[in-house]
Amino acid sequence: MHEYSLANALAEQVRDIARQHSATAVTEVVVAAGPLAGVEPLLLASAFEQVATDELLYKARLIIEQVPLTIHCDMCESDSELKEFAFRCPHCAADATRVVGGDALILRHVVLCQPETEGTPA
Amino acid sequence: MTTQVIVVERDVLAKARTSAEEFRRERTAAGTLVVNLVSSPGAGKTSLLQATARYWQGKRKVAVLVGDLATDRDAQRLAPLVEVVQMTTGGACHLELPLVERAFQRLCEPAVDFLFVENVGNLVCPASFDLGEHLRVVLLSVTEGDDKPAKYPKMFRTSHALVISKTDLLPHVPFSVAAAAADAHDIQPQLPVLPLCAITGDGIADWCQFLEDQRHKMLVHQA
Repeated sequence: MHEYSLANALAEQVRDIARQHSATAVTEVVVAAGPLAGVEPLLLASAFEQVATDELLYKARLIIEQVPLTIHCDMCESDSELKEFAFRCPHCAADATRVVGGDALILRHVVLCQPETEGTPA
Repeated sequence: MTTQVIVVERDVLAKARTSAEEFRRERTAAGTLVVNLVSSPGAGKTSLLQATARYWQGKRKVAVLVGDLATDRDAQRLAPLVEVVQMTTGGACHLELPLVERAFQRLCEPAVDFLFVENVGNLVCPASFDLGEHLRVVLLSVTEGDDKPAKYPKMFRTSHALVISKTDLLPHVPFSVAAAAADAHDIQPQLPVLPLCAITGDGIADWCQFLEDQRHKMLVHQA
């Protein structure tokens, strides 16, 4: 169950961002995960719920977007979305392809709550 | 109160990967090739390391960091042959870099030619974590079935070599090396496939030569 490790890393990253922006709370956390991210969305959501219990994170809603598995071919310079785990280039059959999307858990954006700054009219 | 949207677009494991890059750079500078051995439980990681250590006895400096949920039995098997540090993970299903770094600090002689990290037996979780290795080698024993590459694509995609172990049992099990290799090559077309048997020693010389070549490449690339 490595989703706990990922949820911990995610929570830590979100807390850092919240502190940098002097936020009092985080209301939304949006991540993207593809077929090769090694993430089961239900397990990640439940793990995040269990680690995000502090004052900054307990209100945060986790939204997990699915993104396609995308490879780049170094021979013909094309990008292709894969439906199956077959990594030869669908255009030129070259072996030398790189995964450029869908193999990681990406933190896309967060929504923060901030107190009114000084000087802002009430 | 106001709300603000902060766009991040960053890999959640990016920080961990930066630390792994640093560990890898340090080992490269010391001339140490780091090999992360991954497989299902019982595929023969420890047996392969025993055979490797015996093959290189007196010729190459080798150390092993071994991870298990419980017991130090693997470390006991390896200790007569090489310096070994046991990492007992409690319940953790995979190793992460801080565990490896802590174990590495405990080595009496860390400046070895080859540092093996024997991961927890699991074809799923270890796939996501960079341990600062130069090579990730996945073992697949013939008793597990030749369908494993297709079933665990992330592990096979992120590996740099496939060892097919326990080849002495091939006459007794319905396992096709060609079928396993074909599925693995759909996922990672350039994956080297190394069949071997740690008990009889078949394929051990080729395996050790493969590692020597990889270490040589590392040293040349660095120079």
